[in-house]
Amino acid sequence: MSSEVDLPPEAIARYIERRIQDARDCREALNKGDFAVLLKVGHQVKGNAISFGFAELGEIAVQLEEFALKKDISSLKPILEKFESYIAKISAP
Amino acid sequence: MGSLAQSLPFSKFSTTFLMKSKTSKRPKKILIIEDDPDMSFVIARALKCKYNCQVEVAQDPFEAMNLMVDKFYDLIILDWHLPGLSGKDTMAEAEKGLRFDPDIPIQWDTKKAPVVIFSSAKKSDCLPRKTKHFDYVGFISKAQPLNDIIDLFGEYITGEQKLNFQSLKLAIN
Repeated sequence: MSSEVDLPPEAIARYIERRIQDARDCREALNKGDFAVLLKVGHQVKGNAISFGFAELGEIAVQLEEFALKKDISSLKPILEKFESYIAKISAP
Repeated sequence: MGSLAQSLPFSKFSTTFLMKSKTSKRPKKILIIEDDPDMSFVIARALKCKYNCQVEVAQDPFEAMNLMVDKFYDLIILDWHLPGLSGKDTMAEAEKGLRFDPDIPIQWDTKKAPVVIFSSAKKSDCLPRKTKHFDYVGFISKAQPLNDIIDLFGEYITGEQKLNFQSLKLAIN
């Protein structure tokens, strides 16, 4: 049994909405130095992005998690920018 | 791992589940323990549609424990990184609850619930404990296309999964 599993458009829309909120939360967390939030978002998105067809976002999330774990602010800044711009791209109408 | 872990032949524990699942026609009862609402939604939906499963979702370890003392599940899908408790600690706490609750469903006394660890962490970082009520039958990575994930779960649900769990390790205590 290997028929394709379809993703309903509303599930993808909800997914993108959550990632928009994640991007906001990460920006706030980075400003506060709250690495736990960045770690959580990085880990979660690393796991779910491919399933929703956003493999590139998953790769960005891998780095987000890695740098959050190291508390490496200088590396986190450009990765978060990448995350934000990817989210902006997929959420554009 | 060394002294902290030991290899166990998973096939020894898994055969009963696999044989029964091949002959049974009733819908499988699946518990997904997953704090990511996006993942739990798509996995639950796919398992219902594709394999006619009855699926319940627990978003945190405490909700999962409450469900497990009320019902036996044919398969438990366990996220390894949960809020509050890790997957390992969640199952350890559930084990305690099942041991001391006199009103649990009788199936918990006669068989083990198979558990598949579902995580974006490395397989080697997910070391389950050996318990009386749970049988760790495998590991599935989240970081792969949804169709592949569902097909892998399907192998456990339909009993087609090959007995290749020997490489999994169990932590002691």
